[in-house]
Amino acid sequence: MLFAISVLENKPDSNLDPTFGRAGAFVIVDSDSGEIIETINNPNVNAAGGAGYATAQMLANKGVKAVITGSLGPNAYNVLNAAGIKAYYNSGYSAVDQVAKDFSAGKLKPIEQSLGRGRRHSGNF
Amino acid sequence: MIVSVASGKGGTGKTTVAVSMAIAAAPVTLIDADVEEPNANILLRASKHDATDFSVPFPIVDPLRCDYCEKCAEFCAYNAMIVLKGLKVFAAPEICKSCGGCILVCPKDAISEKPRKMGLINYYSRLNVNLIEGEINVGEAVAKPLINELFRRLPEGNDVIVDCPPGSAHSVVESTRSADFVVLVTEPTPFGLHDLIEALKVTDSLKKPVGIIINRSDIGDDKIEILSKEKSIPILMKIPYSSEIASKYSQGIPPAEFSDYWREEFIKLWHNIMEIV
Repeated sequence: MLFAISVLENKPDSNLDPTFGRAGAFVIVDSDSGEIIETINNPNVNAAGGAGYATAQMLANKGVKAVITGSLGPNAYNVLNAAGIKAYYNSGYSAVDQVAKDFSAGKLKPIEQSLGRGRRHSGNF
Repeated sequence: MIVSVASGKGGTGKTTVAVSMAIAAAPVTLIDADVEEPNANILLRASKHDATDFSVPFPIVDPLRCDYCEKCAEFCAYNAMIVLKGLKVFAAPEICKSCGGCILVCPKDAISEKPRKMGLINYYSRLNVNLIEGEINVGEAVAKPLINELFRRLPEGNDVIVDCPPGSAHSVVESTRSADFVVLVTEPTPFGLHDLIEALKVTDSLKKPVGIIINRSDIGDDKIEILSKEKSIPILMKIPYSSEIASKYSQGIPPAEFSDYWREEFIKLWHNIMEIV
């Protein structure tokens, strides 16, 4: 099964990006092997609108079955839901390998509903 | 002639001025373009004689024809088309701008349009003022199509007064775009001054002639008057704070209706604007 982690930068040792639709990049991990199979830039970082829709759609069409992020807007939540993708919550800017381990160990809480609107980056981290 | 009444800051007295001027200038058409919170009729107190739905075209995808090629999603600049391969294709109502582009690019002819209701247009009439009011549904993101529709429904030959939404964003631009003159209602406070300067950026960029009305003119400071001298913008009227105006306002009665003095003042204001234009 493939799962995706929202990350700040397009590299395998990046840290979690707490935003989803406008996350800097995504790391895609195979849960069976624990290997990172792909890191992808998020083309929707500066989208005029609909970033949550477009990002959720992109991950769905990559065959991802779970996403790990800090928060989900209602649009992204609805698309993930329609595509049968489960979302899990991780706070802060944790390292990717730690997030992946915590997920595999079943330590992450599922995001059961959207908590209000999506977030935009307000500046440099 | 079309006169838009705008302000920048909310609560300065736009609607009080717009309705009073309409009563003084009657027969006239009044547009309530503050479609998120239309409230001109609280002061006009007219009964509704007609209402029509306002809808925009919205794409519907035929799942039997769609082969999930994603051309519509790639084309849509607003990311309003969502393609979940093998599962579902749908448009996001609050993002779609009804441009119809997805229909043109679909190679399978799988997309058609059906009307999506986004609000109402209400018609009222009293004291020879015909009020056309837009009322947008809660949650709609873009007011522009509804505001533009209000201007398309104007009867010919009538003078028009537009009660604009507050602010200086796109809905104010749409409400002042076709105006021959813009009245900016403000108050002599730092908030009134700040937001007046924002509103003037809109009218300057649209190259509209403007005049200022200072409401509650006997409180606050003189910075609005200094600004008007610097920018050579006429001050068309000053309305001092009055407990009578405030008390009648709280009952939904505008100055031009309860006071002969203010009706005369608003008639003079209207003639003054006609001379400037």
